Amino acid sequence: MPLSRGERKLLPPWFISMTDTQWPRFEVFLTEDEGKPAAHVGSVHASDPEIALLNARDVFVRRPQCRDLWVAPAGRVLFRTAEELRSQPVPEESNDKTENLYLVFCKRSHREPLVFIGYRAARSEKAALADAVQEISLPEPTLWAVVSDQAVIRSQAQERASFFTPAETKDYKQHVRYPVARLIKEIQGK
Amino acid sequence: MTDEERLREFEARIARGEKIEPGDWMPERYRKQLIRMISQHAHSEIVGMLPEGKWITRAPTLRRKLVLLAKVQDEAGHGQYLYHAAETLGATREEMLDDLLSGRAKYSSVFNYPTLTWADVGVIGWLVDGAAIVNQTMLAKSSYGPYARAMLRICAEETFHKRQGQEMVILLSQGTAKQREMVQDAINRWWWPTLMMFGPRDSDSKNSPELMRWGIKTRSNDELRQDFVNQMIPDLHALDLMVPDPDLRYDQESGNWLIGPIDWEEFWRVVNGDGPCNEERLRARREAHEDGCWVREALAAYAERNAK
Repeated sequence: MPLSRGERKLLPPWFISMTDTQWPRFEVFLTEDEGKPAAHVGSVHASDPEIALLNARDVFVRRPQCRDLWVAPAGRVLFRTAEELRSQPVPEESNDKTENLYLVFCKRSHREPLVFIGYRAARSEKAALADAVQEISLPEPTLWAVVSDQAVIRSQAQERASFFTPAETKDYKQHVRYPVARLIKEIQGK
Repeated sequence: MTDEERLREFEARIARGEKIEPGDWMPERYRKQLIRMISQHAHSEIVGMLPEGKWITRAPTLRRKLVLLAKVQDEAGHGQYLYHAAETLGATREEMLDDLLSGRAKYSSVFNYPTLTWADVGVIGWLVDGAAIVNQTMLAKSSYGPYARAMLRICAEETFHKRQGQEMVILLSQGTAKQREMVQDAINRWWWPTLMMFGPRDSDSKNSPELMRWGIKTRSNDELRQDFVNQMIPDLHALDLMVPDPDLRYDQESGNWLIGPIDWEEFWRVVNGDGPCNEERLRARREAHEDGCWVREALAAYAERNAK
């Protein structure tokens, strides 16, 4: 049942896509280069995961520097701010469920991006988060995100050429290709 | 904690330079103001594709066509970054689109003017995107995390927009008499609408005090407008180009280029829907939404079939 505007605004942002009548929302994680961690860059709406990857490419990779792109349904990604954790610490769960693999992201300061810090085996997103919060102490990360590995859809290594190379070759999108300072100097020199 | 205590802690966080992230407590006014600002900004990017988009099929060379395509494509992407940022505050894409297509939502009124010549494309790139950069560089320090990050991403791409426009204006100004005339005419028509992009005078800006207190914006409309004018005038004069302002003068003491009076009546008229192209812009967006319906239906059908 669609929610009223008032109801929508009380829900945490990541819950909204599960009950809305829009296309599902997918969070997007981008890896610039080998050796760099994936970073959360935003989200896209799409009808399915395949289209989500294409939309993510169109929205976030118009310029070079992308090696891998991941998307995950927004409803599957758990976000918690430092403030939220302080007022409601994540409980240790002791269900008898099996363990799954989770991806953990954290934002170490206000200036740094929300980046991938590693996989954790746990019984739930909250349990994975609780583990990660225990491990990382100072400085206190400002933001966390956790998502099940099963929910993540990744661009394929063999697709890199067709997916990301076009962005690399379009150098006319780079502002350095417009030597305005030199042009003005030449004019003033006349 | 009472709301009073929460508000004080919230304002202390902002004073410390911390970023507010989705999920953090925030006053309802903060949320509402941001949704209004960010969605208006997003609509501006999308509607901003239209005046230049018209010239894609009329670009004089293949290279200029590629560059213009890339710029317009960027604006679409910028709209997406901003809609996403508004969604983190609880706005929905449906509501925002509905607001735009119904005519309720405002967007930057500079896009309600027509692009009459090819020189307009260069002038928009240099002046309009140049003004946007001044504003967005300031907003990149905004207290709301997702908005600040969207601004950084946009600023990085916007410099190309300004430079390609500036290059075009430089070349036209140094070209034939006809080209010089065309580019001067374009500046005459876009100068004042560009200055109006910075919004009403500080004394008339009812939202500004609250926005400044909460770090949503950190500098005033008049300050930014002055920065922009100081940047542009020397660069235009270096090309023997003028601005249509008989009262323009340089103030030795402050180092500022002082402008004549802005026609605020025109500003409010155009912002409230009575500009040369308001109707045309709205019609174009509605048609695009309707004409694109079959694409959305096809994608939905494809997704449904694959899910079975």
